[in-house]
Amino acid sequence: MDGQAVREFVRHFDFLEMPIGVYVVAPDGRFLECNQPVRRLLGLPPQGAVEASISDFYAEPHLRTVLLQKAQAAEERGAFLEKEIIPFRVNGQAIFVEDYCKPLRDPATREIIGYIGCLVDVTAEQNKVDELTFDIGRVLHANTSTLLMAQQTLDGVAEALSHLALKDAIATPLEEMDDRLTKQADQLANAIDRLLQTIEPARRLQALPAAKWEELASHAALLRQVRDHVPVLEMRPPPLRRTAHQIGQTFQEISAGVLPRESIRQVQRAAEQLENTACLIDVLITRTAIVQMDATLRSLRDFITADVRKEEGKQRLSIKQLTEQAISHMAEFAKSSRVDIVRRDRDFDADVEGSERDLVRALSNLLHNAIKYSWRRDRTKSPWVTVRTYARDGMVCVEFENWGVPITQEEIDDGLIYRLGYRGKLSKDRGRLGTGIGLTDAKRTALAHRGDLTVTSRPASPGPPHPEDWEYYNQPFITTVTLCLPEWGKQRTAHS
Amino acid sequence: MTKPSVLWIEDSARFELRNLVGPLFFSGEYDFNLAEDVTSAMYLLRAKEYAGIIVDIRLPPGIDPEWRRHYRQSGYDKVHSQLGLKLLYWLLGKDRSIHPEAPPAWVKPAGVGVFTVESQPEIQKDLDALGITVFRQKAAGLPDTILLELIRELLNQARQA
Repeated sequence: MDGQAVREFVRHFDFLEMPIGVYVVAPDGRFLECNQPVRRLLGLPPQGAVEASISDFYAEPHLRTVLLQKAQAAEERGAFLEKEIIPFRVNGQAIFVEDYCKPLRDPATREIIGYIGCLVDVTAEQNKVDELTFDIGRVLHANTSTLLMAQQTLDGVAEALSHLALKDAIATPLEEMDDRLTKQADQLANAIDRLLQTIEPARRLQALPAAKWEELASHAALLRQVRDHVPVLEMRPPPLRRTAHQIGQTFQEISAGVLPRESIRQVQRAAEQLENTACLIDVLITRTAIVQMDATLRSLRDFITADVRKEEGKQRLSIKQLTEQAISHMAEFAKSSRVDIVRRDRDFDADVEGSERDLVRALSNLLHNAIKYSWRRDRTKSPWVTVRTYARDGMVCVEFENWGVPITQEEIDDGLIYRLGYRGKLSKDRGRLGTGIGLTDAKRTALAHRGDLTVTSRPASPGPPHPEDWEYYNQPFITTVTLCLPEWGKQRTAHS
Repeated sequence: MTKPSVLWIEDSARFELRNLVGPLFFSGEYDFNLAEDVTSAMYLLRAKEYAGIIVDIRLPPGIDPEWRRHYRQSGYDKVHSQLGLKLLYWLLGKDRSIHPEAPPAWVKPAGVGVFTVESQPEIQKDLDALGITVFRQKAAGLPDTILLELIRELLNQARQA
C-alpha cells in the first residue's frame, strides 16, 4: 500500500476502532455511540444500543454541567477540553476518568448536537496521587508544628542570651554581632596573656599542669587571630564557642587560693561573654533558617496539593490586597532575615480574575526569593526589597526587586530557573536554603491566569568585569521578577 | 612545626554544617581549607598538596566550563550529576574524559575520604573502584566532632599506607 492509499484508508477509518475509549453523547448526555474500551470501563453491554447517559456515572452529578461549560469555553479559545479528571461511580465502585471532550455542532445552524470525547481510566494513578499528597500533607503538618516549637524555643534562648526583646535581638545586624564576637575573643586572649605574664611559672604550675598552660596559650593565639583562621563569618561562632567553653572548664579546675582570684574571674567572665555571644549568633542564624524552612514547607505543601484540592472558583480580586497578603505572609521571614520590604505605589489598585490562594502563594514565593537573595549594602542600613505595582497594556503587574545574589543570563535564557527543583547556580550563596519550587510555581500560576512571569538580573554597577570573568558573578546584581496578570475588564494589547 | 593541610569539599559547610568546623579549628591541629564547588576544589588542589581531602558527592560545578558541561548533561541537578564522584574519578581514576586537565599526581586513595548524604551501599561499588575506605554518611545525631574524627582517621590511614 503506498502513502496515498494509506491516507485514503485513514480517511474512512472508523474512529470507534481507536485503541482508546471514544464516545459520542447527545446534549443531554445519552450515549449515541461508544466503543469497546468505554463499554468495558463503564460496565455497559458489549454490543448493541446503549440505554444510558454519561451523566449517570458522575459521582457528583453537578460536575457534568461544569464540564460542559469548560468544554464550550475551551472551544471559544479554539481549543478543546483535555485531561479533566472526573470522579465516576460504576456499579458502586469509585473510579477516576480523564476526559477529553469537544462539542459537536450542526454545520448549518452551529447549534450543539452532541459531544465527542475520549475517556481514560486513571484510577490507579489518581489513588497514588491522593495517597502521596495525603502523606505529604500529614508529614508537613507535623513538621510545621515541630518547626514552631523549635522557633519558639530559640526565641526564648535568644532573649535570654541577648538580654533584649526578641525584635531587638533579631534586628541587630550579623556583622555588628561578629564585631562584638571578635572583640570579646580579643578580650579573652588578653586576659589569658595577662595571667601568663604576671604570674610566675612555678605558681602557675601549682594551679595547672604545663600542658594545660600551653593549650591556653595556643587558644589565646587562635582567639586573637580568629578572622585569619576562620575567614567565613558564619563559621566563626562554633570554634569560638567551643574554645571559650573549654577555657571556662579549665579555669574551674584551678583550686581556690593558688592564683589571684580577680585574674581568674577576669578570664572566666571574658570566656562566659564570648560563649554567650557565639551561642546567640548561632541561635539567630538557626532561627532564620527555621523561619525560612517553614515558609518553604508551606509553599511546597500548597504546590503539591494544588492539583488535588477542590477547585476554587476564580473571583475578581484586588491586586493591592493580594500584594498586601503576600507581604504579611513574609513579614516574619523578612524580619528574621533583617531585610526591609519597601512598598512603592502603595495607593495603586486594579482588579484581576483568579484564585486568591494560588495568586497569594505565587506572590509570596517571589517575595520570599527576593528577601532570601538580598545582600546587605552597607553596615548602617538594612538590605531592602522593593515591591512595585502598576498597570500597563491591559496587564496588572507586581514587581519585586532586590540587590544581591545574581541569576546568570544562561539560566534565564534557557528557562532553567523555571524548572521544578532547579536551584540557581549561585543560590547557595551565603548558605541560603531553598527547594527550587518558588519560580516554577509562580510561572505556572501566572500562565494559568493567562499572565506571565519575567525575570531580569543585571550587575548593580555597569562596566567591568566581563561575564566570562571569575569576578563577574561575585558582584551584586539587581534582580527584578515581575508577575503580570490581565486586568479585569480590559483587553490585553501587548505584553511588556 | 607545619600543620597538615586538609581540604573539605562541601557546599553546605558555611551554613548547615558550620558546627562541624568548630572542633576542627579548636583543635588547632590542621591547616584547613574549604571548597564550596568543584571548580574551587580543582583550583585549590592545583595550588597546594593536602594530607587529607574530604569530599561530598552532591556538589555544584562552579564556573569551570567542563564541570558545568557535566552538570548541564545531567539536567542541571546536583543530586543526579554527583559531581563529587566525577571529581574523584578524575582525581584518583585519572580519567581525562571527565576533565581534560591533568589531575594532580600527588592525590592517592589513602588520603581521600567521603562524607555524604548517600548511604554506603549506594556508592560502595564506586568507593571500591576508587580504593576509598574512609566513609561517613551524613545523618541527624552525628556528633559535631565527626569531621575532626574523619580527618584523623584519614591522616592515620595515609600515614600507614
